[in-house]
Amino acid sequence: MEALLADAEFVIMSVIWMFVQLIQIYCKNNAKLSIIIPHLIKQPLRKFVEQFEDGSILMLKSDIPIIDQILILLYHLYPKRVLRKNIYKALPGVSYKTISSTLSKLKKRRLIHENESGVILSRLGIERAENVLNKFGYHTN
Amino acid sequence: MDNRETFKEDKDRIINEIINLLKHEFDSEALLIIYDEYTKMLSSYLIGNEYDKVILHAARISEVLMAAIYSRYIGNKVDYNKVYFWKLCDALKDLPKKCAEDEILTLVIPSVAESIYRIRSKNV
Repeated sequence: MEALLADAEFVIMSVIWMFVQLIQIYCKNNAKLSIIIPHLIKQPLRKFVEQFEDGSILMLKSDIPIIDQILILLYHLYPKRVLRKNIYKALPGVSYKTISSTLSKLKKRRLIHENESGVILSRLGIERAENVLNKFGYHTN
Repeated sequence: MDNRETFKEDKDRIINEIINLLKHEFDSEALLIIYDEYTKMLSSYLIGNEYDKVILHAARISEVLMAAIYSRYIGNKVDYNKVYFWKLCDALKDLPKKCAEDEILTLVIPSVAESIYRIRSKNV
């Protein structure tokens, strides 16, 4: 898995490198170049969720509604079920009460299913999470 | 407007800027395919951790980009669904290099595209 990740990151940066070369050839406007090139280079770093070697997870994007953060987190980990305590750990700074009330809302809307093994997105939940991600401009299929 | 929309608008604006810069030089169909594959490549990485798909999308970008550069030099439009990648790279590398731009487009970029393609072949 780690070798595949290295390959993936290498090819992403190679593609971006090719784009930067093309832009440098055809864009003679330095002001534009100074906006476009940093944007391209920083783009791949905008990962939403990071998973660590011990299996713990961290939601990296904290400036969006909690409900969206939980949907993205569950989508990222699908089809694994996630325990409430692990959702709480993945969203530092968010109270357990807020997470519980958000999960209740999601349950009422039939977007998640919960049992003793944890929480998982329902089909409706997957659809909703994909809508959230599409709002960021990411294809989910 | 919430920050999701701002983020997407910002991203779309930059992508449109890039397409506008390149559309006078390269076939617009190729640019659209590359844009679509680029978005999918990043999504596979950012959302799904689907690294094998990342590599496939990057290889497709390399393929279409080589075809677009070839078309720009030779004048014949290449069918983007039937790209003979290695043949195109060899043909590009054989073209005369009259300036730095030729050097980058027909030698340096093809070499990087070949590396991406080799990684795809290793993983398929």
